[in-house]
Amino acid sequence: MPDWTIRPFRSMADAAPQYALWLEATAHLPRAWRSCLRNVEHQLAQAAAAPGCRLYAERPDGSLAGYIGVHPPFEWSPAAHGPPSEPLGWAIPFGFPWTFPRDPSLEVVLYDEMARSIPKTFAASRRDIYIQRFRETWTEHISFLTARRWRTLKRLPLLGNAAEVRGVPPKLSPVRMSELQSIAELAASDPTATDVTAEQLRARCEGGWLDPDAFWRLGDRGAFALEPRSRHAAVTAFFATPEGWDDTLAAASAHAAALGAREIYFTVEPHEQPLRDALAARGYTEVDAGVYYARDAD
Amino acid sequence: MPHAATVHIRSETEVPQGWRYVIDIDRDGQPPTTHRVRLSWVDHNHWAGERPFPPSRVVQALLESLLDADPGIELPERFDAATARRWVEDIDAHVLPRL
Repeated sequence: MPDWTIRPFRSMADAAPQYALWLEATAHLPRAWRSCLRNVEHQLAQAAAAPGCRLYAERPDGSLAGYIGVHPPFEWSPAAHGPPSEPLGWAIPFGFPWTFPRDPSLEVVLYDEMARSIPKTFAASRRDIYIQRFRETWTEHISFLTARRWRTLKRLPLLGNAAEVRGVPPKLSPVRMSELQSIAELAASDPTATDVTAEQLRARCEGGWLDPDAFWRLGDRGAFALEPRSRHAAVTAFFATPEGWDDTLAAASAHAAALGAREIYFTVEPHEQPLRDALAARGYTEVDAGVYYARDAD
Repeated sequence: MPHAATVHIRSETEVPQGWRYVIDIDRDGQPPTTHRVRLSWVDHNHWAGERPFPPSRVVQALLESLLDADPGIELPERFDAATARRWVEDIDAHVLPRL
């Protein structure tokens, strides 16, 4: 009897066990993104067309021991995806082989199976590189990749500060989907924010990239979304008028503290220098980094 | 049937027209080795016939038979189960009683 049976995606019933394992496997990793079941389901919808996009390792009793996922190739353009400045061709997001309890031998099995199956799964697609995203502090996971010829591709600083309540907590109201146009207008008025359309915001909410239940506005002055996990809260959206910027930032910090976080942090893309400057001026410092690793596709 | 080596199947993966296994082999006095073994449908049928033996049982019996027949055999890191017939001519006679 094998310790594990490796199988591809079968149905959306795979989503909940996969998400539960993700939460367990990453519980100890600082600033691991929380994600949400909605996001997992959104991504698994693609796997229905290419079941090999997910591989699950099941124990003899049918319980999930680990999984690995990849996503369909997309064109890595310097304009949209930042450095390096030269085009990298078509990239396949390649997930880490998550296991729980952590089992290095199963990690290798899942990784090798996925690496072997990708050329068949995406036989009809151009593929030039594999990419993967981590936090810089996840040294064991990064070592797993660098031992397999992955190299650093891109580094995004995470700027953080203590999450704290100063004075009376501000009154926040939830952002409704019907209000996304006004949020896009807020973004347009924010000199530190990248312009975003209501349609883009809606797509991010529907795909679970932005949790509509954690999207708040401070009147007409600003809006923010948080993804709290353990003692860290990631800011996943932040838009404010110049006059309301400090109040919105303070409101986000207070709300993060109310959710139990001790730290609030932003991921700063290379083109977001104004945001970086604004945060640095308010005492935010680099607490970690988002790092992208890549290797040539097989 | 006694055998000095331990064969441990770590994983089974369904692949086109068969299965692939990651197998650890522990022989007395030697460092453990890991092998990736492919078993095709046709070879599963060759050894199991119409009997309801799972493919993992067939590949376990095959590896144990190989190691019993030739305890010093050097197995490649990757191989197809059918190759065993070239290494040990009467391998079928060893495998069938183990199933």
